[in-house]
Amino acid sequence: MTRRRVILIVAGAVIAAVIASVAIGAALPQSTTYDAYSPLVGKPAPSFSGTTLVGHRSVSLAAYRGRYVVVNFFASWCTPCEDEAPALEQFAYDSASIATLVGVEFEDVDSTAASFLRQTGSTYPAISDPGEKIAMAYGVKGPPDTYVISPRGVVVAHIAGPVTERGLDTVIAKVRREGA
Amino acid sequence: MSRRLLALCWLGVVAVVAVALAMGAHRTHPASLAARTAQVAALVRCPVCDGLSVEESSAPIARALRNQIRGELAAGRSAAQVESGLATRYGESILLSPPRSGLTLGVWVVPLVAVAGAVGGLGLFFWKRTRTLQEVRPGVPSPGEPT
Repeated sequence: MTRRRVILIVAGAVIAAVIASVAIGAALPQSTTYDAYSPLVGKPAPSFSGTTLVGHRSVSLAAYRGRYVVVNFFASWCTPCEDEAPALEQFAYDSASIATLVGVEFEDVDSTAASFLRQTGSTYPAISDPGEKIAMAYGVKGPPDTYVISPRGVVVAHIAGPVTERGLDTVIAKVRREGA
Repeated sequence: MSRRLLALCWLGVVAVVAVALAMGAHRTHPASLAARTAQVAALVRCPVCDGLSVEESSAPIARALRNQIRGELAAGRSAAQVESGLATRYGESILLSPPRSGLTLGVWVVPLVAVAGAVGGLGLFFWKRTRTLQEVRPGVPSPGEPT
């Protein structure tokens, strides 16, 4: 085999490997970290209030004091957000006695986000975030991003990536065990 | 030109450079609020972009962060205070330039130590090589020795 031929084969193999790894990476579902780092964990949750995208009701974090609050940042253009939507809706329904789920739109148009919520059948309160103020207060790096707030108003967990109902249940059970 | 005059000229140049450097170091307020905002924004990573600063990105969150930086600087906060405020919410990774304290100090110190080690190693290598050559060929001059 000539030297030139060997170089061509090696170069072809390298290009094929790069294309394959990119394709596999894109096809794999986004991974979720249920104990993702956030400097806010252990600190008082930044307060917020807003108007729901569907129904235009007022929502305030302070009103949920005494309950666990799960704050989920989402966007209509975010595919993993679409994937986790049924799990969030189920969690909101099943855990209504101890926790409240609040959605916060991220980098989205209100009307598009409202359509997304209707399409995914989400009935929990989801608010708009003009000027990305709530996202900046929570240090959101991209949706879906979820924060769990204790009944005392302290951030007790940060979840990066799409959640499952079981995953959320596990996080809530863990922080309850720890007395948060 | 006499030697004394030449020396005086050099002294003058050194004095002008020293004064310019001192003035530059003590200048606390660069041009305008827009310039200071751009300066800080260039050091803040856009949270949703790959390798872009808040200054470079046109993402809504980058725009919002630029507005926030501008507002805080206008309120009298220093660039360091604005950066540290962002780090308390996003973590140190929001800063494109790691802080010069704690564990991240290593990011600044390690390259300097590596360069110093490399230069020292090279110096040692050439010094030993010259000595070896001197032992083999006694006529080879040692470094610093007049030829």
